[in-house]
Amino acid sequence: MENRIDNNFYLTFYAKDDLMAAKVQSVVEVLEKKPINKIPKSPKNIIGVISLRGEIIPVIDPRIIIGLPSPPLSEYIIIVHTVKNERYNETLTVGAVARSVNNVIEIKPLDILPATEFNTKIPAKYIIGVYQDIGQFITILNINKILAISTVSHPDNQN
Amino acid sequence: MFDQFKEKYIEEVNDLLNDMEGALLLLENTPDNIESINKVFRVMHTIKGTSGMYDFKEAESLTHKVENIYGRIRDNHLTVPTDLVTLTLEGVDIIRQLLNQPEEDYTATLSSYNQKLLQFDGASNSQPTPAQTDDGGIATYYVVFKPEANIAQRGVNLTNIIEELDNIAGSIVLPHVSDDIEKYYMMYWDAVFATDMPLADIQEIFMFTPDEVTITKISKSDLFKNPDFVQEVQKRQNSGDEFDLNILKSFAPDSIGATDKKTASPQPSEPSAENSAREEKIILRNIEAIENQRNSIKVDADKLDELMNLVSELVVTKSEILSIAGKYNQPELYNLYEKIDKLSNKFKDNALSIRLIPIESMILRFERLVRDLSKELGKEIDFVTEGTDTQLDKTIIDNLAVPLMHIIRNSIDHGIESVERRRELKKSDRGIIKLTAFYSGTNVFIQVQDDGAGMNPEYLRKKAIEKGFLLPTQAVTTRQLYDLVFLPGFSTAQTITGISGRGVGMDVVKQNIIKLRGEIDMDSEVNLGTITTIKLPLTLSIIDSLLVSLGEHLLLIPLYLIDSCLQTPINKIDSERKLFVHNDEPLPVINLRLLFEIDDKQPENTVLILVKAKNIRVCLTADKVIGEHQAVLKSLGRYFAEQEYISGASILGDGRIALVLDTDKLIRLVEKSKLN
Repeated sequence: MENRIDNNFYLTFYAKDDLMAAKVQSVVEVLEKKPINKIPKSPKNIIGVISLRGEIIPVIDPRIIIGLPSPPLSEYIIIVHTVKNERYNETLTVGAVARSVNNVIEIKPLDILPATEFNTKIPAKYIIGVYQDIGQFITILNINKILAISTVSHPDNQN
Repeated sequence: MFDQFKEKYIEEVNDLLNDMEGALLLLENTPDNIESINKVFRVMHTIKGTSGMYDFKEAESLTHKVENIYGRIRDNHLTVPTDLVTLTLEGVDIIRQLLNQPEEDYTATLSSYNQKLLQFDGASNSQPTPAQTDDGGIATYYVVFKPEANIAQRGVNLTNIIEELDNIAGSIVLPHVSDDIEKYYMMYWDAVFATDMPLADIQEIFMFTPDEVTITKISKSDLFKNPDFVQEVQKRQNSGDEFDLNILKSFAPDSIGATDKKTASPQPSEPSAENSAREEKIILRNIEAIENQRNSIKVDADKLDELMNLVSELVVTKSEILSIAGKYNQPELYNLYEKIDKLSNKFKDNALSIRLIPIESMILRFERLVRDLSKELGKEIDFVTEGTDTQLDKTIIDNLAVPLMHIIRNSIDHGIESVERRRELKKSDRGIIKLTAFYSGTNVFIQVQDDGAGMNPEYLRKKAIEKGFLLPTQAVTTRQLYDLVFLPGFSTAQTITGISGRGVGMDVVKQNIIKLRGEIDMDSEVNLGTITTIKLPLTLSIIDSLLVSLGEHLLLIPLYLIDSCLQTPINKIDSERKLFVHNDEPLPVINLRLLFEIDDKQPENTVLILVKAKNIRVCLTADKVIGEHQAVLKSLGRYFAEQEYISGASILGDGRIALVLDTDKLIRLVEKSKLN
C-alpha cells in the first residue's frame, strides 16, 4: 500500500529552464552545490565525480544525454539517484546535475499524458510522459534509462 | 540457538583441520617433529571432545582412533611414516565431509577407513616400543562420578560421559539417586571395569568435570578373572547398590594404596605418572586454545564496508573542524582538531586492516594439492611460495582459491614432466611449482610458475585450426595463441586425465578472475615451463603514494615505484622523441597532460617523476608535488570502465578526489613504444 502511494510521487526540478520530474522512489538525496572533481578523458556527459559518505559517485549532466542545450550551470544542485544495472543485477548510485529543485508532487498514473502528443525535442525513450500542472508542462523523465551505463558511456548512440 | 553453536563448531573444526594439515605436511619432511606430532594429537583431541558435545558420533570415533595412534607415537618417541601422513590426511578429508555434508551416508567410507587404521595400528604396535604405558597390562579401576547440581547449566553433556564410561569394554556402570540435591545433581554413578587404557585416557572422559570424579585403581591386574570378584560385582549390579571400595580392594592381590582423590595427581610410584602429567598439560593447553579462538569473531562483510564508509565520512568531517578553527582563530579548537585527527587516523588504519588478510591463508590447500596429486601421478614436485604476506581483501582471496587450484593442477598434470622425461631433458628430478605474490602499482599480482614442459605454440595453433578458432591462413602472435587457451571449449590436454581436462577449463578460471575485476595471461617456453599471471585490483586497500597536481586534477602515484622527483623547464624535454636526459641517460617521458588531453596551458616548469618498474624507467610530468598521501583506494565504478590510465581514486581529507595512476599501463605503454 505504502509502496503504491510512494510510486505516485515525483520530484520536480529545473534542468535549466524546463521543468522536469523524476520518481521520488529512485532519489537518494539532493546535494547543494558541491564541488565536482573532473576526470580526464571521460565521456562528455560525465561531469566528474563527488565523494558521498566515502563512496565515489559519478555526476552526469543529463541535459547532454537527452539532447537539450547544456551551457555550464553557475548555480546547480546534484540529485543522487539509484539506478538498476540489469547486466550485473546491481544498483548503482549516480548523481545528475540540475539547476534547482522545485517541489515534490503527486501525479496519478492516469494524469500522465503520452509524450507523443507533445512536440518535445527529447527522444521518446527517455520520457515516461508529460504532466500538465497549473499552466505548465512537466516532462517526466525515465531516469533509469537516461543514467544507464550503456547510455552514459555511449552518448552518440542516441536512436 | 543450538544450530548457531553447531555452525560455530563446524567453523572451528574446519580451522583446526587446516592447522593440522599444515602440521602433517611438515611431518612428511621431518617425521620426528615433536611439535607437529603434538599438534595432530591436540587437534584430534579437541575435535573429539567438541564432536561428542555436538553429537557428531562418527567424527568423534574417528578422531579418537587417530588420536590414539599419535598419542602412542608421541609417548614412544616414534617417527611418523609417510603412509601414516597419507592416512591421516585422508581422515582429515573424511571429517570435513562428515561435518560439511552430514546428510550423506558415510558408512562404507568409514568402515574402510577404520580398516586401514586398524591395519596401521597393528603394524605400529608390532614395532618395538621403547616405553610401555601403564605397566603394559590390564588394570582394574573403580570410578565414582558425582556431578554437582549445576552440571546441566555448565553445558556438560552428561549422557556422553556416562556413555563413554559404559563403552569401556566390560565396564559395569550403576546409577544412583543423590541424597543431597541442593548440592549435587539428582543422579550419580559408580563403575567398575578392567582395561588396558592408560589412566590419562580415563581421566579424559571427565575432562570437563575433573573435580566431580574419583578414579581409583584397585589393582594392576584384571580382577574380573577372579570369580569371587565377579560375583561381588554381580551382586551389586542386581541390587543396584553402590560398590563398596573396601570390599572391591580386598580382592586385589597387590592392593594399591590410597584412593587417588584428585585425578590430577596420580601415584608417584606409577610409571605412567610422567605421561599423565604431560597429558594433563596438553588438555590444559587445549582449553587455552579453545579460549583463544573466542578472541576472534566473524563479521558480516557488509558491516565492514559500512564501517569503512563511516570512517571516510569522519575523515572528511574532521577537516571541516579545521577550517572552522581557522575562520574563528580558535587555538582550543585546533588542539581538539589535532586530537580528533590522530584518533581518526588510527581508526582508519584499524578499520582498513580488518578486511585485509594475507594470501598465506589459502596456501595450505595448494601445498596439499601438490602433495596429493604429485604422489598420485608419480611425479616429484616442490611447491615454493614467495610473498605470501601480500594482503588482499578477504572477498578476493575467497574467490581466488578455486581458480588458483585449477592453474596449479594444470601445472602438476600437464606442466611438470615425469621423472624419466625430466632426466632425458637433463632437468633435475624434482619439478618446481612456484607461487609468487607481489604488489605492483595499485594491483596485486599472483604468479604461478612451473619448470615443466611449457606450451608448444605450434601445437596450440594446430589445435586452434582444428577446432575452428583460427583460420589456417590467419597470422597470429605467440601471445595470441596463448590467449586461445582461455576460450571455452579449447582444452589442450593431449590425453584427458582424471585430474584436469574434465570440463572446467581455463575459460572458467578467466571468468572467475574477470569477476574480481582482474586480468589473467599466460606465457610459456617449450621445455622451460609456463607462467600464469593474475593481476588483481586492490579496490579496498591502502597504498602510500605521492600526491601531485596536474592542471585542475590531483593524481596519486604509488610511492614505492618512485625513484626520484626533479624540476625542469619544459623545453629541456625532447618533445619530438619524448626523451629527457638525466645523468647522461636518456629516459622516456610520458607527458600526462597530453596523455589525458588536458588542454590548459602547460606551465614553463614541470616536475618529472621518475618511476621505475620491471627494469623500465620512465619520467611522468606533473605540475606540482603536493605531498605524501596514504590513499584508501576506491574504484571509480562502472561508469569509468573505459578509463585507460586511471586504476582508481582516493578521497582526500578535504573531500577532494585524487586519481590513482595506473602505473602498470603507463609502463606497458613505454614497453610498446620501445618495440616499435
